[in-house]
Amino acid sequence: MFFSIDPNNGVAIYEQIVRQVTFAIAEGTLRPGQLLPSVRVLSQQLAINPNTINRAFQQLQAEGALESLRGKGLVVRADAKTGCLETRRTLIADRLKGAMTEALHAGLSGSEVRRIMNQLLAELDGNVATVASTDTSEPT
Amino acid sequence: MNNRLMIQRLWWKELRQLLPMLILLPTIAFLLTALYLLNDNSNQFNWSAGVAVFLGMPGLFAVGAGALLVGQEKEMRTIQWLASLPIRPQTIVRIKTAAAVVGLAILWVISGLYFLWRDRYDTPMTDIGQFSVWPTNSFFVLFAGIAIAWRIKSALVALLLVVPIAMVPYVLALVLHAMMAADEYYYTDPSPGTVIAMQVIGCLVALFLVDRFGRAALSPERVRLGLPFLANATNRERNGRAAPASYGVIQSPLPALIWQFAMQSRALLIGTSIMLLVAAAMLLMRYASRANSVIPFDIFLCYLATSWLGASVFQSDSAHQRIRFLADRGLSPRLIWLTRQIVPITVIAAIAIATLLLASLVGPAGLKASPGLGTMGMLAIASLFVVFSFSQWAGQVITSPIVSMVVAPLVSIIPFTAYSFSVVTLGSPLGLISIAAFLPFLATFLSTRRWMDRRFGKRYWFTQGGYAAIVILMPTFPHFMALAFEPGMSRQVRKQIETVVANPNNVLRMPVELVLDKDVENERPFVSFVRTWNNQIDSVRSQFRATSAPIGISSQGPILKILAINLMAGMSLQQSDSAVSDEHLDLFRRSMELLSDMVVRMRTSPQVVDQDFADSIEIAMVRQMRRTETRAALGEERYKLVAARLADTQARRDARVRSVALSWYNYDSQSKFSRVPPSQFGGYDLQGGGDGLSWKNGKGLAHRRVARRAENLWRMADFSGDEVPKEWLLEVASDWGIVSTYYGLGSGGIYYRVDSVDDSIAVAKKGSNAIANQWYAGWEKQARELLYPSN
Amino acid sequence: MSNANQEAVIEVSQLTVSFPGCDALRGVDLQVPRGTVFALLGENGAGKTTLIRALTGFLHPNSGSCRVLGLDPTVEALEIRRRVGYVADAPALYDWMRVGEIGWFTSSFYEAGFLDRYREGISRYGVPEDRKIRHLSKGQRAKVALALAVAHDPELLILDEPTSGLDPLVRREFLESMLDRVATGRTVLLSSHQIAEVERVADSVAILHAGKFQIIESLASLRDSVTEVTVSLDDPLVQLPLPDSPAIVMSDRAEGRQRQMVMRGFNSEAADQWRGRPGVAGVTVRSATLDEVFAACVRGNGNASDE
Repeated sequence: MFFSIDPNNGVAIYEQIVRQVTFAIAEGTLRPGQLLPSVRVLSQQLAINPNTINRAFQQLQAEGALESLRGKGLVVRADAKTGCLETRRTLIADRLKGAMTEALHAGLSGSEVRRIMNQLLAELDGNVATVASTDTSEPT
Repeated sequence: MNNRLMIQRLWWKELRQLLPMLILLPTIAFLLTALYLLNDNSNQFNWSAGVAVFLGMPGLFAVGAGALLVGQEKEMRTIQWLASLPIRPQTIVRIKTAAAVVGLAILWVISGLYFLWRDRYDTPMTDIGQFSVWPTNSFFVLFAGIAIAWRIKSALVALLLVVPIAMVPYVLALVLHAMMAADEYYYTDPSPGTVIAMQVIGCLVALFLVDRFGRAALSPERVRLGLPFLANATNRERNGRAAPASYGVIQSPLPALIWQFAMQSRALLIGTSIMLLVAAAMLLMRYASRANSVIPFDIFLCYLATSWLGASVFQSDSAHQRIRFLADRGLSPRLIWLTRQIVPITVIAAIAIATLLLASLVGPAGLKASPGLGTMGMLAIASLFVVFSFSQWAGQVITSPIVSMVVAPLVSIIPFTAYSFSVVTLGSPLGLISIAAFLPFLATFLSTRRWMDRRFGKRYWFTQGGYAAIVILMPTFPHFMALAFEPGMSRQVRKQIETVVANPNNVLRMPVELVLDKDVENERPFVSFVRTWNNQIDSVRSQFRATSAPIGISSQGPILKILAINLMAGMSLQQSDSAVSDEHLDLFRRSMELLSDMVVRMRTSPQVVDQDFADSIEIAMVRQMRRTETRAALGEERYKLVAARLADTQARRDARVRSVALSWYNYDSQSKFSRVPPSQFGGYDLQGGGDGLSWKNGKGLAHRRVARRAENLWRMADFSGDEVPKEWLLEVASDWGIVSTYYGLGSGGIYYRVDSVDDSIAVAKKGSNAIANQWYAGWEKQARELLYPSN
Repeated sequence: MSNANQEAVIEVSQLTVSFPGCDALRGVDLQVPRGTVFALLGENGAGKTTLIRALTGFLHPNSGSCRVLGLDPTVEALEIRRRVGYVADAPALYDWMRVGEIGWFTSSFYEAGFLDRYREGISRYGVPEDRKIRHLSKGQRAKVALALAVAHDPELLILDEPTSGLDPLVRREFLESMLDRVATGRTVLLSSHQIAEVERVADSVAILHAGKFQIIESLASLRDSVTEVTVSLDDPLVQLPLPDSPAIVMSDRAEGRQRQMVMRGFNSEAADQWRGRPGVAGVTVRSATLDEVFAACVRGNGNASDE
């Protein structure tokens, strides 16, 4: 998978790696059992300190997204997808919360916000490609 | 880490850095010497130019080695990188010094080889002792230069300082010698031994300092709050000097650019000004006291300072690509060129003129400027500007600042050698040389654009090479043009001459000079003149008998004296005193016979000048013979004999033809065997003649020109008509650079070319060189009438 | 974590260096652990180069001491230079030498194997071996300097502004080489202005300002603990209490009705405390980028319009 690391966007680099791996698992780009590149290789590829990458991997292991396969490296856990989807949902919920807070703060009323949301959903729902997931379907 | 390997590599690097200089210097030296060898005029200087060049060549290297090995690395900051490697500072310092020694030794070997070679083929160098101070001095200069380069931050300042320091051992030797020889009355130079001893001591001191300063420069800084005396500008600026905004607003770029140049090169300007002033002072002292020193340091200083000023014109901006700043702002190359030249030229001109004015005041003649000061002074200033001209060109062409500073002086000697060759051997006109010597200014002017943009491609080098070729070869153009286009002797005439020369009767036998007794010089009273003059005639007769060779005369003096005898004797015939008459009659007869015989002997001479002298004798004789008294005095028989000889135009023609042929043959064969063209043709001096017949032209051209003139003479000698065509006379006159009046043309001509012996004849100026001006003139007809009165 | 061996490669203690007219280093202390990328940040003229020159033995300090690889630079500078690779800011190489020649020349100063590693490095960077250095581009010259500095496999690599003026690709290559060295247990001391690069590769960061270290810390904990707090006030005259320790204000700027502070150790409780105060319209907390940390260290307090 491709990473895109931006040291300037305020999010710590290790955090960016964590998020991108999580999203990739959630999207299905990284399949269960897939081997991730080693710390060394990734560090070379991204020109990032291996310690940073290590920290990201450690966190991913702690969150249950990755597990260590003896002699091979880190692989995606079979049951990682659910957790990642959940994480992703949390992150998106946070983002929505941020957007709504901003809207309310700007002076829009609750009904206005709701109206905009419905309008947008009407436009987009069904027209955005979803993640092709074979097992669990996304709870609405 | 392999210590030996490291040292090997360091040696490689140092020698590689010295290589351009080691190649360039000998090459230019050889070039100069080759030019000198073409030039045969070796009497110009006390020691020949080749010796000077090969003594100076290692000296120049010694001056520049420090700047090249140390100064340049400091400027480029590569010394810092070198020092960051795991290598002891001493090693760096010592290997650099050792490499410099090796380089200098190589150059001395080359010079030594040159001297050996020269001793074989040329006059050996007489005073080895005197010259032995140079090698040791050069080593001292080398070490001193390196020590200074380590100590002083600016490479250029270091280079300038080397020159005064180079003189220190000699000065010390002078002082020592003065102290030891204080009681001697006469000034003597210190012995070479003393000087060398001082230099050796100097070398040791300098070597010690090299080690010390080098190590200090490479070792870690110990930050001291010392005076930033010799620090470069950046150091001072760190302490915050006021910017020149306080100078006011400058409207036009010209003064701003001049200010920029002056500030940028102020170290060099100040240094060279000091050198020039010191040299001027030494010159003035020498001039005022008329002393002469063996080693003309003052001239050397002048020359070096001027050369460096010239090199600085373009080098000042070349360093660190500073010119880019101006080039990026689209400044006109013309303006740049002008503003680079103004300051150095002003410096030189100001000091030179001031010196000249002072010299006219302090000279031996006091306020009266001694004669020749004007021209000598002008010549000296002109030479300075020639040096400047070539140095500024070298400064533009050579990109490395240090190399250009060292090589520019050598380059600026080229014009002197090349042009003296041109003038002396090829007879180039001085006007052309002046133009050529200052062409480098034009060359740099035209190349300024490319130099500013640093576009040093093939085209740039070709152009510069072209300029170089023109500058050196231009003065030779007239010579080669003449050589290509001027006609020589036609083949037909050459064959005719060869036939005459081949005739066994026409042996080339040089005439014996006729000598007159001293008594004839003094006019004795009328009473005793008969006896003395009779003696004179006897003496001449005995000279005739003594040799069968032709008789020749080098000036008109003897002829006039003998003609005077004859004239006086003839005039005395009119005296009525009969006793005296007999002696006078006898004298008259004898003198007439003598003159007639003398003519015969002179006619056999291969020199044309003797033919002309014979003509003037015969003219006087014809005049004498036309007088009625002569016939009676000589008697019929004698008269007829003399008249027959006088009337024999054919014999005269044969003699003239033979003389022209033999004169040409003589000139031709002399020309083959000497490097310098012969200075005489047929007894006539070629020095002042025509458009360069003398040694001032190259042998080839002179030969060809003389050949053509010989052909014209031949044509006239072989003439058998009634009257020689005026065009021929005109041509001969212009050939030999003689006023055409002498050949009977123009008003007053009749006084010089004798068409009638009754006309008053102007006395020819002494040494008029009017070759062949009496040939087949009217007097010959009158001579024939003596025998055949009907014509 | 990976590096078990925490012995210090560089130890600096109370180092003081004064020049006429300015004090470059005023008694600094520093420890650089082995096997890490240690970044030295500071404005131009802060003293970074001075420190590096003292470490490499080019400068004798006025007082204090430092040890590199256990050796004293004032005494054993030569041995240090043998074991340390140093790339200076705009290194001056002999531009008349060819790329191959300068490697051959320099190899004589080190042990065997230098030349091979150098040539390998050069070919990896794609620099033609037979070209003269004066005809190389800036980036190629920097690569040559780097190749020369690492060819003897030094335990410590010191880089002083190595990538200033180089294009992004070349900078990337430099970063990769730095990481390469660290991967094999070597140490890199990097002095740079390129904050973005430092963020990517540094393990620890030291910020030098006015001759003293303002911060010496691992990058991870620095990023974690420093935040940028923007407070919107109803009125510019509203005062805010100093946050309780362990929170420290690193910089504080005011513009109109907003105040922006870079704080260390500012947690959510403190934020809530402020939100509750009268006159405070809003408090936004964001993780500070290294850029902002650096600016905060260097600029300190003041109005935004002062810059």
